[in-house]
Amino acid sequence: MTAPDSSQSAADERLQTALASANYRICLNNQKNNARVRLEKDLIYATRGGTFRVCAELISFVSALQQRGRRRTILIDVNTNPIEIDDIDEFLDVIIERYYECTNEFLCEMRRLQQSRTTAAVVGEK
Amino acid sequence: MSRGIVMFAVNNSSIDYVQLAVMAAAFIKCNMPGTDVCLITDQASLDWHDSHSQWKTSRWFTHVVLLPPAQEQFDNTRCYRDTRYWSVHDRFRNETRSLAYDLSPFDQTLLLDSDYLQCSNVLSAVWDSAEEIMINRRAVDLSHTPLAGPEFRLNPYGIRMYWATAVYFKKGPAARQLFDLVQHIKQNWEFYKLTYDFPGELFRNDYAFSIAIHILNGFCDGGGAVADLPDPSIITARDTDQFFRLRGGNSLSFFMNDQLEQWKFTVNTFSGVNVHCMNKLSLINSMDHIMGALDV
Repeated sequence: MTAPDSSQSAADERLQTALASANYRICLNNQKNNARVRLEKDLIYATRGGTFRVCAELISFVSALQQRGRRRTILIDVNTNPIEIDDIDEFLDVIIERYYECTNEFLCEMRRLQQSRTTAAVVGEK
Repeated sequence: MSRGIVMFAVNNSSIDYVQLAVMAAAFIKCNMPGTDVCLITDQASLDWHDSHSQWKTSRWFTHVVLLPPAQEQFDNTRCYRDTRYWSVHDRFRNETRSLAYDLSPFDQTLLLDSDYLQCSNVLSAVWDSAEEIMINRRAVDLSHTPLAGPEFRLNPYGIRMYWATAVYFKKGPAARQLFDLVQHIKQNWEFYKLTYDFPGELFRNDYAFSIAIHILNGFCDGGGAVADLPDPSIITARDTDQFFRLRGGNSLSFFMNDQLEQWKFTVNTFSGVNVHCMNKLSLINSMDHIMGALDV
């Protein structure tokens, strides 16, 4: 027995077969889940030895501290480590920017998926 | 503090692991630019690769460390699949992972499998972390279903499994202790196999790390000895799935095999997400295509 042919022409042929028989709904859900996973990963922000997941709650909390005139603070990261933040303004700018960028990419990808009416379009083959 | 990625690659007669490591290093160069990468291999694998492959190791690795000659402890024969329709049995030479602490040239090391493809720079978040050791214990397949059975617990009532696919450690007492324990568990594999009651004859680094972490946690499940990596779950393409295309340096497409209707394949594309591809044969078969698409 020989190994399946993985050359690109064979892959293209198998792609056509897989696309023809694939369930559109399954592919759509898979790709939506992939986009959600990517969002989660893109929203991870590491600084000063801590790892943060950028979310509305973190932005609101840091923003509240800033509005009360705080310039430095200690935040608890995802691994429950206390992380000293020396410059709240800079930290807030970075996480808001990250949030905007990632949610915008997520929106674009979800819109693309919603507008894709064939399996090939859903998986980016057309 | 120096920092970098370390990969182990020891060839067998079916799989050129060094070739896989070169591919993984090319993904790192493309998606985690500026990261040092160290290859740990044996002289025979290095010589064979550099004389047979157009992708020489010297271009892709900042450091190459040779393994000391050693007697292999296990007859580790495993099945390598390329989808459900083709497989081969061969030696799995994975015993040297426990030497990572001593062989790594870096103060901060991210130890990666050579089949873990980095399509994002999320793991760069580990550098200068407050944590000393980070490792994942969650893994999902391409449909985001958590892996179950022996990929979740060592036995149905046993301890949770940690994935040695990606391990971050900072040289210091905690990491020293972990790797010493892994080495001890490897040397007393039969004892720990009986104690932790897991199936199969294969020596698995995942299991050795899981047991070591369980011991470090005071024989408890989750005592805080290690933390999750920033990428909290490992997306795993099973060996029944087949890689078929890379686009733009970070968009991987697979034929995903349906676990219930086994004749059926669905196309699944991941962009900007790291994927652990267990079907090594399909990666090696696509080497030309991948290296061309990465263009680094």
